Amino acid sequence: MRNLVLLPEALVVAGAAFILLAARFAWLSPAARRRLPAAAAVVALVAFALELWVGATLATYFGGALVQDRFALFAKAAALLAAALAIAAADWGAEDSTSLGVAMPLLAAFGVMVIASAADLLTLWAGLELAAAAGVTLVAVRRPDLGLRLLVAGGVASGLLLLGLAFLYATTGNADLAAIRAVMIGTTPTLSLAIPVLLLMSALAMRATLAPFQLAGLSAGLGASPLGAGLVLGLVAAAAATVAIKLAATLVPVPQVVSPYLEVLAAIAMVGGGLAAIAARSPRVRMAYLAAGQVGWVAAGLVTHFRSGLAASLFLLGAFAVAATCGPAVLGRAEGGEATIAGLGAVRPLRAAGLAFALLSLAGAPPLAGFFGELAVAAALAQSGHFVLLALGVLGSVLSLVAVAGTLRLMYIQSPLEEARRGALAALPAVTVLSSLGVAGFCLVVAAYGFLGSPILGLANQGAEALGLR
Amino acid sequence: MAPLAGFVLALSSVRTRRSSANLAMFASVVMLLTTVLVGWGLAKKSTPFQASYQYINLPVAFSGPANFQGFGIDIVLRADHLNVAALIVIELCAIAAIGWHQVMGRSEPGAARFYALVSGLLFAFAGVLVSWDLAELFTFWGMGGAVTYLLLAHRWGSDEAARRARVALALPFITDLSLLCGIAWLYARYGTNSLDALVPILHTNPGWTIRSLVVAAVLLTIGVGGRLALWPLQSWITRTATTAPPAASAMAQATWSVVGIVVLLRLMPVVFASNAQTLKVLVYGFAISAVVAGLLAVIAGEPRRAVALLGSSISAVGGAVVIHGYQSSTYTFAIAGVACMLAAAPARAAMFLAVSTISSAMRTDELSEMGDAWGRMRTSSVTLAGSGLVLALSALGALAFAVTTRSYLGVALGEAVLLVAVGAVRVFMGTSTGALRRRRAFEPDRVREASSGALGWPYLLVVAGAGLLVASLIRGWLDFIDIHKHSSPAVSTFLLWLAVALVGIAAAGFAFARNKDGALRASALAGSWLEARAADSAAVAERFAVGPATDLTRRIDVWLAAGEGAIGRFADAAGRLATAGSRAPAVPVIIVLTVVLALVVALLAPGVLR
Amino acid sequence: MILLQHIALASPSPTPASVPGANIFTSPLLMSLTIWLPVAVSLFVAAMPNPRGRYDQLMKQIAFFTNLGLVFVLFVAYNQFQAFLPTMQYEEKVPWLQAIGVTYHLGVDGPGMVMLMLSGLVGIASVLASLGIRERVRSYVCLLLLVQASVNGAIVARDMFVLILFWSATAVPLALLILGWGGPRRGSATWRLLGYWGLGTAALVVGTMALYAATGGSSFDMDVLLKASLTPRIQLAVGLVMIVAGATRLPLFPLHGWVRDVLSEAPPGVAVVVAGATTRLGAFLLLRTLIGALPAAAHLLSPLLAALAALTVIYAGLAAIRTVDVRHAGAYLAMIPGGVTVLGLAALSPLGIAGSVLSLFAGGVAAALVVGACATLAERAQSRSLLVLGGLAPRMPSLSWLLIIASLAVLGVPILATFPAELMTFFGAFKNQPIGAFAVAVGLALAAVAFALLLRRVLFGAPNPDAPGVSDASLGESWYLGLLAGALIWVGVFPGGPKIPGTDTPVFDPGLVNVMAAGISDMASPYVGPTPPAGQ
Repeated sequence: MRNLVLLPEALVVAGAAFILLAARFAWLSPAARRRLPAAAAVVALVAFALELWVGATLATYFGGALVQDRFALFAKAAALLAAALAIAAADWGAEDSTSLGVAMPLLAAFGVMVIASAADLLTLWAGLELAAAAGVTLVAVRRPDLGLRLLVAGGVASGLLLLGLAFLYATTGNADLAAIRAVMIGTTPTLSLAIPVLLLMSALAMRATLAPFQLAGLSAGLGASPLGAGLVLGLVAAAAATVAIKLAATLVPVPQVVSPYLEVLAAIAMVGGGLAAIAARSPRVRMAYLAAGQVGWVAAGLVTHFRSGLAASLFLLGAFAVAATCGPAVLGRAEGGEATIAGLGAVRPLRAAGLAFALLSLAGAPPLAGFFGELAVAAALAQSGHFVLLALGVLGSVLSLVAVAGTLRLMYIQSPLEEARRGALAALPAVTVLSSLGVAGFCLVVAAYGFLGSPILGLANQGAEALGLR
Repeated sequence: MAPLAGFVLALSSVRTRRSSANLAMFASVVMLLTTVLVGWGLAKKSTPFQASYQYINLPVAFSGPANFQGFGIDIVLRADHLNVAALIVIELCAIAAIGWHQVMGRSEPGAARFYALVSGLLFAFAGVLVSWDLAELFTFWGMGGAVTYLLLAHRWGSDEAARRARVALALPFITDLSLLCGIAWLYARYGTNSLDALVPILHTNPGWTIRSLVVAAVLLTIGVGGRLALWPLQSWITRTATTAPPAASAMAQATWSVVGIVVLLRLMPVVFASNAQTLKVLVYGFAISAVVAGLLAVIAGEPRRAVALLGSSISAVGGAVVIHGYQSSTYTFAIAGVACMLAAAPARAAMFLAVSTISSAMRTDELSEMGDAWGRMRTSSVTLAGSGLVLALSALGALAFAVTTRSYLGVALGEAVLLVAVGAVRVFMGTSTGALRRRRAFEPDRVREASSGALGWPYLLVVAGAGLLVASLIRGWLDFIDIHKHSSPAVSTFLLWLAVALVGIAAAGFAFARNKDGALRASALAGSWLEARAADSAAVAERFAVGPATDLTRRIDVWLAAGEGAIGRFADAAGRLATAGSRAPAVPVIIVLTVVLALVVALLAPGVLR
Repeated sequence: MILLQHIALASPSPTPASVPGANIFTSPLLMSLTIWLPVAVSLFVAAMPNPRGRYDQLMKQIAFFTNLGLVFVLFVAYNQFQAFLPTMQYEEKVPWLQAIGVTYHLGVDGPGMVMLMLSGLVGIASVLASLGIRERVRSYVCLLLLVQASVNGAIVARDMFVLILFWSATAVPLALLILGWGGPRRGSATWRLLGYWGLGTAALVVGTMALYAATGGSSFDMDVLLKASLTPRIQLAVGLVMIVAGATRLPLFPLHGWVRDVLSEAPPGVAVVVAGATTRLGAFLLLRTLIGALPAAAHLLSPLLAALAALTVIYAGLAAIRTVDVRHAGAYLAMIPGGVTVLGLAALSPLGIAGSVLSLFAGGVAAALVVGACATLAERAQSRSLLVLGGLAPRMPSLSWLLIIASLAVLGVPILATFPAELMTFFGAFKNQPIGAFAVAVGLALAAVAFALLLRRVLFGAPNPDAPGVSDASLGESWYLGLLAGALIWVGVFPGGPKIPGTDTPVFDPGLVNVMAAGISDMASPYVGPTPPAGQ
């Protein structure tokens, strides 16, 4: 059993590698290439199932570089599920390269898995870079310029990240998270500790497209193909958030250096995200800002440097990863603007439902995944007495809801464009069995997340506990 | 129950005019017979008959003062001599009105609705009269009020009627609210609605104060006064007098006066429990309103308004007598006031119906355009005269029994009686004497007496009124309707008050006999002057009270809208700012932002820099 | 039918028999049924095929019979309700998110039962009022059912988390209903609705979280949150926030900005639900949290509540006098029952609270009736302007009668259910809030003037020759308005239920007043006046 624990990782990497090689050396017939997404989705699902089955065993590998604990289990499961659903639900007609489009989500998911079970700073960094690289690749396929921009910004981010990690190593003389934590207990926070930590956090904020650092990531996500956008806004952000959770757990002994900064970021992101979502018009832009707002909620959970807070963050992160990764994929090529999704409910009922679920969940509307996650975070905020942040967050959610109502109106109440006037810009996403299955599965997950919340939140709780929090 | 059944049946099933009329008539007659039966049963008994049905019974608390632990309204039916007498009078008025309406109201719309409402009104009044629980009393009172409004606003098609009927909803509703507030005020302090339970503890219940009793007394009296249509609360009957169906108006005036006076007597223990000044103020308030109403009646240009005002004046006299009479320490003469109203009610109904007959025949509402009814419509004219006489004399007994002639009150009420006499005669002379002039599209020779079916009913009312008037002068009648012994005053007192009325009659008669037009012109002049003043004051009220108040709401809406707009614009602007970020040169901005934010927060964060 | 069998077979609920023949028909998941049956049906409707709108009628019928079935079940539950039993009844409790102490906890006490009956009644009325809907019937029916489900959920929730869930779930479908099927100014109406209700939801969340934190952050269950003894300072803070939450829903004076547009732009069916059921949740929340759980705050804030109530009623009266739009008038007048309800709460006396609970029902129905009557009248007369309409009474007799009944109901005239409610409210209020009570009475007088103007302009008077064609209410419209009017009259005549004369045995209806009494007494126990010293 213990040897099976890394099987999901192996499956994902092998799948991704095979797809890339097959594409490079043209091993596959066109017919087989058409089946690629289905195959990849199945691989990811199998990995997900395996993770749930064998992931429960606690173990460490490579001399403690990788640990399998409840936290790892939760994060890996979330990432795999998100990747599987995104690949299945994607509108493959709108993707530029099937093989890359299939492989990159798997790689990104692998990056998150690496982070999830990382035990030291270096592995964390490696996982994050891997996920980010997957995102950059997929963006660059359609818009090289944006890819470059994202690469540069990412370079800055990873530079800052390395700087911070190096400082952390220098201050504590340790790269191992648990050890760092042990050292931190008893140390008093100083400026020399705070500044690098804050640089670290801002680097993660960049990766997580958390306001006000969303600039590069957001624009890149908006220009990319649907799946690319989903990757940058969803999985990569989730990866960064996972790193943030791990680091926050490590730095719990000295909350003064992290919490105020996260508070500021969370407040800006939650309110700003809502406001921007109202101002935004095109569905994908609106979705991007809603996602930014929800990442703010995740950060707000980290402000409460104790277990239930981090557990809530993790719980919300799962919901976020699924919704934010699949949202743009479900939207597919109908990304042009308001006109494109007008009356989508009539012409593409299932996709419209999926889009509605994604938007509502990201806005934190009841009774979907995001609502439960955000209320869990809210409860944690209340317990730790951060009522101002709580109020701001609820305000942000209300704004997001108002924004979503506009899009829902477009989809369900406006009458669709006539086919004659529907140009290439306003093309409708194709409907395949796979995509229908994927969207249906996505809707199911988002709807059931809260009602099955007891085990999920319980697992998240154990995950936070595994990080050594009380 | 009979009228209720009639009401329901008429509303639900009956549609044709005749059948609904017969149904209503049948219901009323059955009711009358049962009432008479009850009265006969009670005649020999001095203890009232009582039965009760539980309407609400609700335990609201299990601790605290016992009388506040539960809340209950019991429909207590309590019939004593007074109730029965009052009910019989009301039913007589109703029956006569229905009978009159059957013939004269043929052209009225919505017959079924009309007769159903009449039955409803009777039911409500029966409820008010027999109820001994204040909440229950108000229940039926309010029901009667609602039905009355619907009756007075009966002519749905006519704009004039609709406009004038507004006041018939608004003004009485306000006074009814005052009654409700009074009852609620009492309950809040004594925790009971039942008069039997309330009266003994008025001065013993913990936490009672004179002030609270004064407030209650004033609220209750205003509430009753509104339905008695005392000046200045009379406009709901005067303004609708010419536009409502005459039968409805007559019924509303007559029946409400009876119900109101009986309820006032019933509430007197509470009013009396407040202090002497309050009672004095109330009595003089009634006296003043009696005089003013009489004055208005004398100068009113429309005969029906004049009749309504005469009635209002008599009601005020009766009310004053009730309040004043209740104060005499040994035995109460308050009942004399009630007796006076019992006599006046049929008279005013009859007078109103007779005047309506005449004015519908002469197709005008202007007294100055009428005349010669004596020659052309003898029966109606005689009815008018008789009813006027009864009305003028109705206060006789009350004053003789209850009021000493040598007191300010006596003078004031005497003046009121004088004015009523003058007014009554004026209406009679104005309509019946002098020449009936030719007008455009009106040929005097066409004026005929109404068909015999309509004439009998007012006549019957006059007879009933006269009988009750005579009765109100007899001690035994007073002894009968409240179970007390009363001593009768000296004959000279009767004669004195009779003289007062006769003086008025003679004066008016003389003036009109000399120069009808002059007399009318004089009153018209005064009337028009008063109209102008009233219009001015209304305009002032509109300008300085109503206008600003309603305008304020408009402003509030504007402010709210402005505020919402501002918030919306702010949100939009902020949102655009946030989205604009994505167009900024990403990398340098991010680097600067990172460093600045990191430094600032690190420096400001509590606990990092001590 | 299956539903009935299921319920009949289900194990008996803990509530013992109250009336003869009780416990024939009980269910351990009655409350869940009231929530999830409409949801399930709406999912079914959303999924069922509907080629070229062939089954539009069927969908409406499905919605109608769903509501009918629910009301039947509710009525039986109401009949078997243990009056005078202070505890919750028909309780369901399932652990949900243990990590943060959320339980799926449902149950009703007297006021809850009253609200459920109101919701069921208004639900049927709203479906009947929606028979005229022609386009996008499927979406309309689904959204309407979702609204009803969320309202029921908010009523029966016994866990603040669940309450927030359903409370906030009401807004989105309503917004879509108004956006999709509303009148010309539906846009601003929707944004106002979302804005104000969003503010209220935010307030509710913050207040709940404050309670949660103050009680140790172990549970969201009302039995924990609302039974804890908190310091007056916390109570005051939470109470203020809850007042904001309630006032945005009810609505009360300064936070009423949405009500005019929403009630006048929404289609009649939706307007009826908003005015009748969803808005009552505001007062219900105040009753549950402020009055029921925060006595100290209630004592401090009752003058504020009374002032808000008075301002609301007076403002509504004046605004209704001023307006020249019949639907605006209806919207303003529908604010009045809410003011009376809050006056009863502010009275802080057992009787006042009982009165306000009764007026939750009566006022809700009256508000629904007046809004619905005005909306239907405006549709039937093809105009909303009071300057155009006139003399309609002879041409639409049944609508005229219904509008008259609605007016009298809002004013609280006897034999209508609002009368006992108003009576109890005033009787209760005159002890602690005499000024507020007088002010509300003044407001009612203004409302009477407004009604007099409205009736005179619209119904009575000479018809306007230039006005567009007029037709009387259709069968469905007269039915839904008649249903509401009938409920008002029934409860007004038999608040204690029709009894066999001479006995105390209720026939067929245990009486709304008796049912609602359950749970009020202990809710009101902190406000009982001091027992007078013996010997007096």
